[in-house]
Amino acid sequence: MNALIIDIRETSLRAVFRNDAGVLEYSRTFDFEPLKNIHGKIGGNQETGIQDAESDNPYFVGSHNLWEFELKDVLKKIRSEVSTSIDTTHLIIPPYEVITAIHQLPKMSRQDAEKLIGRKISAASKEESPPFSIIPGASDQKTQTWHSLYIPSSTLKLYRKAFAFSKLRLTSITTPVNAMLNAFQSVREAIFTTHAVFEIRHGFVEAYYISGDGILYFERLPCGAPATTPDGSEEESEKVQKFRLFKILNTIFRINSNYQAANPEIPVQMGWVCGLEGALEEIAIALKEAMGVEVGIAPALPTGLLDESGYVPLAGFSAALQKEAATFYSAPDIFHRFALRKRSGFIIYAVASIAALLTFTLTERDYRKLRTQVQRTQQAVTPKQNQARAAASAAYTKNLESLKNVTSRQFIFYNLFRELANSLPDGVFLENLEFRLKDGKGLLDITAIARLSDKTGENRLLSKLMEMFDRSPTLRSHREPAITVFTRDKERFLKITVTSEVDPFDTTK
Amino acid sequence: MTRQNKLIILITYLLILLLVMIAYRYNRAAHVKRLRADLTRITAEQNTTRTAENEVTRLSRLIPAEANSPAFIESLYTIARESGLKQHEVSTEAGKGSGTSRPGGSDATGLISKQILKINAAGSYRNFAEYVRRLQNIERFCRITNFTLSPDAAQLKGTLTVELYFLPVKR
Repeated sequence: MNALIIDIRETSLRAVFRNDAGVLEYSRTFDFEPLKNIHGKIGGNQETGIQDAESDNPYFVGSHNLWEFELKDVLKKIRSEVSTSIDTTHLIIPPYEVITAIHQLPKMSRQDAEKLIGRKISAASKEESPPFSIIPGASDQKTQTWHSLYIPSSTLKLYRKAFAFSKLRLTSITTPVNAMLNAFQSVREAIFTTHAVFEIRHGFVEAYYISGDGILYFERLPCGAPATTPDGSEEESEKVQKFRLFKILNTIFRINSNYQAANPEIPVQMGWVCGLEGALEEIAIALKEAMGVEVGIAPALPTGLLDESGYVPLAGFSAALQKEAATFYSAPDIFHRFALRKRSGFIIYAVASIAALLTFTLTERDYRKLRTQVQRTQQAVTPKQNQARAAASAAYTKNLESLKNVTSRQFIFYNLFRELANSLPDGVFLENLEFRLKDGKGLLDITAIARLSDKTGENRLLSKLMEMFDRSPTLRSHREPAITVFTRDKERFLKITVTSEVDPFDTTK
Repeated sequence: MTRQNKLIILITYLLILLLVMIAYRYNRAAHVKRLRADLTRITAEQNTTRTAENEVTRLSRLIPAEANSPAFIESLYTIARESGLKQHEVSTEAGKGSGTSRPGGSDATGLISKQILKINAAGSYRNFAEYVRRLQNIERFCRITNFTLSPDAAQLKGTLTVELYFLPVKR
């Protein structure tokens, strides 16, 4: 995968391009006029704490500033010079954007130290998950020194935004210290005490005192040497060049003095020089004489680049990316907001599983209960009847309407008997009663007798009798009475016969 | 495994669990809905059947499958005695039953048949009123088609024709 690696410093922007085969095939440095001299160091007599270098950032002021436009132009040039497409872009952030601190802790595992230092940085920066890394420093029998490198999330976002403005998506961001450690990964195993690496660039000297497992000291100082040689006589040029070398060496000696003061018991085993300076060999010879140790020109292993000493951290970062051993700094994504600990994770899994199981159990129970109810109801609808009962049931069902018709109409005689007994006028006696049912209609012939006398007219026996029939709730549509007179035991009687229909029929039975 | 991977796995697990539970609940809800519809239908059918059965049971008590006229006649004698009637006589009328081919019986099945009984008795007006009341209160359905009450010496003489219904069923 094609990768573009960019290193931004105060005075320059360096870029290398690595092709699919892992070969570095392009390198270029773009010089900038330094906006501000930034000093920084790791180790020495610094107190444990976090330096806030964000306020010293000379570039990021406002949303889109001149630097972003300048970066856009530089990246445009790089794109035009790199023939193939750029798949990923990686950045070595300027050293002044990195907040460094030293932590002297009792001996503990790296994970524990990371947790402890992370909490400290989090408390100081008010960031829940600060982007940081730790590098082991000097140690004794009881304590271990750790260097923490912290880049505020806001700074990372600003750089990503600046590159996005140039239509490039930053894949990863690291620090110069991490990149330089990556560059010397191959020789670190052979370090017994410390190797001093001096990177000399236009106006600045950066020194890394690396040990077998980490870094002991880092310092960056401006050397104040003129960047270019003025036009003039050869003698004048030589004089300026000597003055530059003097300034550089003087700065290196100052840094070395600072290191020796901070780490008097750890001597320098070997020195390395690298950078964009042209007179590296002369510097190396001078250092060898002055420091009394062997001094080499980095990189330790050839990278294949034309001016490889000027791109040591970039080549180191590129190699670490290929080996997937690089250290990245990224703003916490949404996942970091939800810290999933072992116990809470187990609880979430357990609660979710139990909830699902409970839902399943309850739903299945209700479903099975309902299904059983339906089956039972279904069975109850079709009971196993014996043949005789089934036949009887079928016969009754078949004649249901006829049976209802037969049983629904019934005349209740007792009501008639009671009515006649209670309502028959005085002097009138029931002689004969004849009921017959014809075509579903009940007809009743009631024959009553009454003694015929002189007062028959005044007594109104016949009228009273007919009024009784009229008022009767059980009789209706009575016809005109048939009245005859007969003699019995020498007395004359009136015989009254009334034919009437009976009503109502009891429908309750 | 990184924290991010753990979170991704957890969220994936929860999402899958949620989707599975939603699908399961949706499926079961459809089943439950169908079962409830079945239950409602079956319950309605059951109610209809039960109503019909109750009606059949009621009618089978009123009009049984067998004529069983002897038992009915015995009950007539009983109520006549309890009502105070005298000279109570019950006789069947041969050949007058509906669909009958022999006296007092019927071979026709599946059709409503009747046995005609002729009742003669003597007693007071009150005796006859009580007798008829008790006769019409017998659980088994019978219909009085003729009832004649006439004076006879010092008391009343009554003649009743009663139709006793039954529904012959082929066994």
